[in-house]
Amino acid sequence: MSSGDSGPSSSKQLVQQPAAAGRSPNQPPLLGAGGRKVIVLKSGDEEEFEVDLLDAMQSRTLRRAIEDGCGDGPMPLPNLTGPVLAKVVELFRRHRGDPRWADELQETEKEGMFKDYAPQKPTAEVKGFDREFVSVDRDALFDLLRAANFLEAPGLLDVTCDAAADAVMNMTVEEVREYFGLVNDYTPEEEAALRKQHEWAFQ
Amino acid sequence: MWDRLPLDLLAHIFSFLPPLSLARAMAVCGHWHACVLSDPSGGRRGRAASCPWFLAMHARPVAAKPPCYVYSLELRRWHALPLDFLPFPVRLVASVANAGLLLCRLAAGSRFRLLLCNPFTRQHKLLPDLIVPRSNPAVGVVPGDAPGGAASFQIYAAGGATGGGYEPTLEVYESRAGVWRRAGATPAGFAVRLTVWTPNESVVAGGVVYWMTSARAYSVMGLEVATGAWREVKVPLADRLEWAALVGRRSGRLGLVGGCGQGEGWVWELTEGEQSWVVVGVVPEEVEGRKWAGGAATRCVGGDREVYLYGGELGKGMVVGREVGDSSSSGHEEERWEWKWIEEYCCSAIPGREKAVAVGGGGGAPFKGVLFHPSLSPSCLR
Repeated sequence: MSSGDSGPSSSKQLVQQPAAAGRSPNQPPLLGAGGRKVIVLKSGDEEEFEVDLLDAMQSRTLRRAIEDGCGDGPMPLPNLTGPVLAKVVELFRRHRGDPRWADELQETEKEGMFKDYAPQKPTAEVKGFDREFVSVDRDALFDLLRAANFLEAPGLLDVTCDAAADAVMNMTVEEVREYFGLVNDYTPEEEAALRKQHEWAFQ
Repeated sequence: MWDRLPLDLLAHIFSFLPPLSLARAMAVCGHWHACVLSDPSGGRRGRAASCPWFLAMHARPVAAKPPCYVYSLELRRWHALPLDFLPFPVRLVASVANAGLLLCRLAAGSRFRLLLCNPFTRQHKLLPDLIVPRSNPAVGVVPGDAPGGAASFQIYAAGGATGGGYEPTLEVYESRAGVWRRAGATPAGFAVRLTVWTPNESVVAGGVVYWMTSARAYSVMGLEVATGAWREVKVPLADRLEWAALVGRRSGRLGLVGGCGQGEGWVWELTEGEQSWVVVGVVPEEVEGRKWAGGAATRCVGGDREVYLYGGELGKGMVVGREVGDSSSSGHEEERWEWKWIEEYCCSAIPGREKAVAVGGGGGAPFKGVLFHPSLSPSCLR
């Protein structure tokens, strides 16, 4: 996957000629309900999901792939399972136009193509959805974190990282290690010194 | 597998953690420790950024470098932070809120010298001497805007006394350059008033650094950063206020908190163009069923949403007001604020040492407080 060269010029090109790269001129662009452009994401376990192109653009990883012309056929995402991808796609849909993460799309908005991304204040409904989205057990949360990291989607990252922070916020050091399955690589002396340094946090 | 949790992802999680959790995260494993230290923002997003901490230091240096005390409204706890890493006894001047630093002055000797420190990372840095030596200049901190990177800031030193009179100049310290430079004039009228009446904390609003003279009748002095122009702003009830302090407001405007004794108090906001003061909050006479003194000994510090009122002695508790409503919403000023009584004594922060601190505090030793966002990352002082 290329990176770094997906600057404004290539996004502009994409907007003017949606999903055109690699497609023969007589093929129609992919259209979903209401004539919107859609792409298909395929999970590691072969489940396919239709996603609004604009929603998929919330992920920098997907955006780069689309700009490189990989958006025509189903886009394989082998490290994401069907259930995880289903959740992620739903979040992208709910976050459409959310100003907290729509910054990157504002540039293209000037072209008039991403009207749905005109920032709208996140509603209580969206906030409620976000809370519900991460009301899952530890393993499911880890799956979502991995997906967020792989997809590089700011909204998904914020929601999942906030939840992970919430989970460990009031844990002791031992509980945190247990939760994340981490190995303590300090010598007893080193750990004692660290606890001493921030004594106020261990009272 | 989480041993190899990508640094980016971990840093993103940490950016949502409050300082207490970050301090514990550092003791989890080496990877996490390195991640906390590498964060130039020091974890100031989301909830972690929502509420500054109150920090109090003995206003007059006490022998044997006593600790400073920090209070977190969210944790509802006091902590003691030792200051034994400082090579000199100091007095607290201000906080560099965006960098998690405290600005102090050396307590010993007549020569004026500033020092920056972070009590969480136990770092300190002695600033160079001013170009023109002076005592008691007004000191103001202007935060720079460097999103994502290490915070930058400027420190202004205005006026001050010299051997025979008042120093009519202004100097500024740039955190990036690390040196003082001459930055214009402090007209004699301002130098005299800011120097004679030991200046209170400065507050920056709308590109102007404001100081309040700390003697009645109160008056506010403003220095416009861009032009170096000085001005005076009248204070509401100036001759009646027994205590008063400037605070920054969420709206970006200047705020003023003050009262006339007997528990009365108000929060004002300066309107655009410095035309007038509008009452935006009322300090109730009774907080959680207790009358608070509200006399001339009242000290006040404020942040975007919070106002802390305390006596010179912290052991007697504090009153904290938190603005909960939206300023655009209609309704009475009284209803926009939640007032709480903080009963916990700061001396209980150190088990077994209550007595030692009580001697310092109970004997009438005054404290000075500031609000700031703690940073556990050493990058701000590198």
